[in-house]
Amino acid sequence: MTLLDVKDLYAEVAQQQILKGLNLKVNAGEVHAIMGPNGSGKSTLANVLAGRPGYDVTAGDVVFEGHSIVDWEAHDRAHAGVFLAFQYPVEIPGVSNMEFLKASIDSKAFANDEAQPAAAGFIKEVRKLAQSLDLNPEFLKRGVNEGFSGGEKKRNEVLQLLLLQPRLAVLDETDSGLDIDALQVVAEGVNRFRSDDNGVVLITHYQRLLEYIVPDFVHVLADGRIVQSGDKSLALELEEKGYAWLT
Amino acid sequence: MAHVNLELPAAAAPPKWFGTVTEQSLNQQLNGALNHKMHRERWKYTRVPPVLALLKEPGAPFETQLPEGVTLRHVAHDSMDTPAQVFFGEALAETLQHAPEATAWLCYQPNVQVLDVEAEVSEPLILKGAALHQPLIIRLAANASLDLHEIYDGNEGSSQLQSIWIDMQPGSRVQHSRNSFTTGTHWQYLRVNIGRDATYHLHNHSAGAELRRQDMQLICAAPGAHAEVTSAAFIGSKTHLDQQITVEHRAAHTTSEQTFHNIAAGGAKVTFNGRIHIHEHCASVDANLSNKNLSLGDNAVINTKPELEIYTDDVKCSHGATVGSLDQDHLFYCASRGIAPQQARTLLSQAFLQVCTLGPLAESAQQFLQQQAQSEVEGG
Ligand SMILES: Nc1ncnc2c1ncn2[C@@H]1O[C@H](COP(=O)(O)OP(=O)(O)O)[C@@H](O)[C@H]1O
Ligand SMILES: [Mg+2]
Repeated sequence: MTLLDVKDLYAEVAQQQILKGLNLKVNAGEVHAIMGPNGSGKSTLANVLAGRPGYDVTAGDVVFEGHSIVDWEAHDRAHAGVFLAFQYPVEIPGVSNMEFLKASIDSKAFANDEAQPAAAGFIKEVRKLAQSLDLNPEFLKRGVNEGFSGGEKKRNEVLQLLLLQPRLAVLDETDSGLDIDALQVVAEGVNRFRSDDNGVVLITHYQRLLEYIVPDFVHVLADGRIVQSGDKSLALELEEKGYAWLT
Repeated sequence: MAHVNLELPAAAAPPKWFGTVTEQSLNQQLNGALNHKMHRERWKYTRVPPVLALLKEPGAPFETQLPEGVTLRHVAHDSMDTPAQVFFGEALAETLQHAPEATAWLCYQPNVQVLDVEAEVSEPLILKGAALHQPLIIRLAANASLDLHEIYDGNEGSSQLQSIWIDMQPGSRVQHSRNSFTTGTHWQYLRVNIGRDATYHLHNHSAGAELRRQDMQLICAAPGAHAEVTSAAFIGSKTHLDQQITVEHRAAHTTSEQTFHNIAAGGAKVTFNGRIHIHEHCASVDANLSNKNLSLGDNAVINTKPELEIYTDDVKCSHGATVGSLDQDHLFYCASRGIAPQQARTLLSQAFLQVCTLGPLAESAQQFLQQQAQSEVEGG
């Protein structure tokens, strides 16, 4: 079943054309890695998929589970099951992680006419998830990402992924800035998420992550479009030759 | 601004210990100070007449339960003990210029209250009730400590005034929490003299009112003195808050840390004036002040003015003021997790106040302020 169909997508940021005819189809059960040089538009794609204000689609379409979502607001996409793990998660002092997670899950449940989880069981579940990702559960009392190290922020993104259980996860360089132990923890979390019902768009700059999260497809993004697609061996080739030969 | 003429009531004369000042010359000096351009600058955004009108009313004593280790005396000016006279004498010589209203209030009132704290007092001292209160002097003996609560809520619309003078001997500690949530005219004057190795911490929580003016003068008077203020305020539609804060470092090795977060709803008037004054020969001073203002609606008037006066080279000093709206990146992070814009705005506004809502009165302050923020976002 097709989960995501990005059709000849053009998008601009700050009146600058960044995506220039991008095509990408993700079926349920698949992991698609997207690699490419810095500035090629990877994060722009992630933000466009998540519906960030200021990232304007000028042509083409994004179809998610049969619906064109380009005009949907970000929170509506989240309710429908789109999730973005940020390259640079923000810190929000004054809103505790736990409070934030509860607000997220409650909003989603409310929008989908589902029951909101009871507080006690919810707290237990979140603490367990944190532990499984090597995150000290005490951190959950702090402000969202407040005072977290780079690695802790990335693990917190994976925690949210596992908690919210979206249909489509877009992970923007969730591996950057991680040491090898943290990388394995994050990869294990993403692998735990993978199922036949959901899809993953895995944006990465390095091949390293793909040793732990084995993708079904690898795409190369350069200058706003996919210039090459293949299986995981393409990632190794890129690692050897760099990106220069593409252009 | 029109010339301000302040007449002392006929019966009042300056207390004997007030130097050689005669009634007539006190009157002249007060009038001079009230019409000085510095004074006009400090009162640019708050109307003076309603406050001057309060000064002519009779003051009432604070009614409070005294925790063990604290004594409270209600005394006529001229029967104050010598240290109190010396303290006021010195303080008044300065406040005559900086805060003539506070000087006037003290001289107008036949009585003052003197609260002595001799030990480490664990029970909080609670001052409450909306009223015009007689001047209160709080003296902490060496190594004494006090948990002071001021709670002003209810009594909608009534006028209030407090002038509190705190003198802290070496090694003493004050944790001071203040919730000011009434809606009428309210002037709060606070002057704290922080002695050697003494620590003063104010948790200041406020709402906008018809007129709410907070004057504070915190003086780090001897090495090791530390002053700290965390302050959160919600200034609702058509209400007013004016905060005039001075922190003076008069000795080397003194520190201060101040954070003020104010949210202005549409049509609110907010003024923040934060002055840090580091005197000569005050090496190794570390003084920080941050004032952040969040504007939630249109037509809020927000004035923020940082002032630095530094007369010593070897100091660390930071001073920042911002006026803005909610952070777009924060809003998008919330949205990406399914939190809709209105709920996100409520959550983020509440968070902005929450980080400056600390201390023993934090819970009730949070409840009040968060409720205000929520109804503003959801109503507007
Ligand atoms: N918010 C923005 N404002 C202005 N330019 C942007 C913004 N976001 C991205 N860009 C520009 O778009 C291009 C692609 O950036 P990005 O998508 O972040 O690349 P990548 O993630 O592949 O490194 C860059 O030239 C970048 O400068
Ligand atoms: Mg990027």
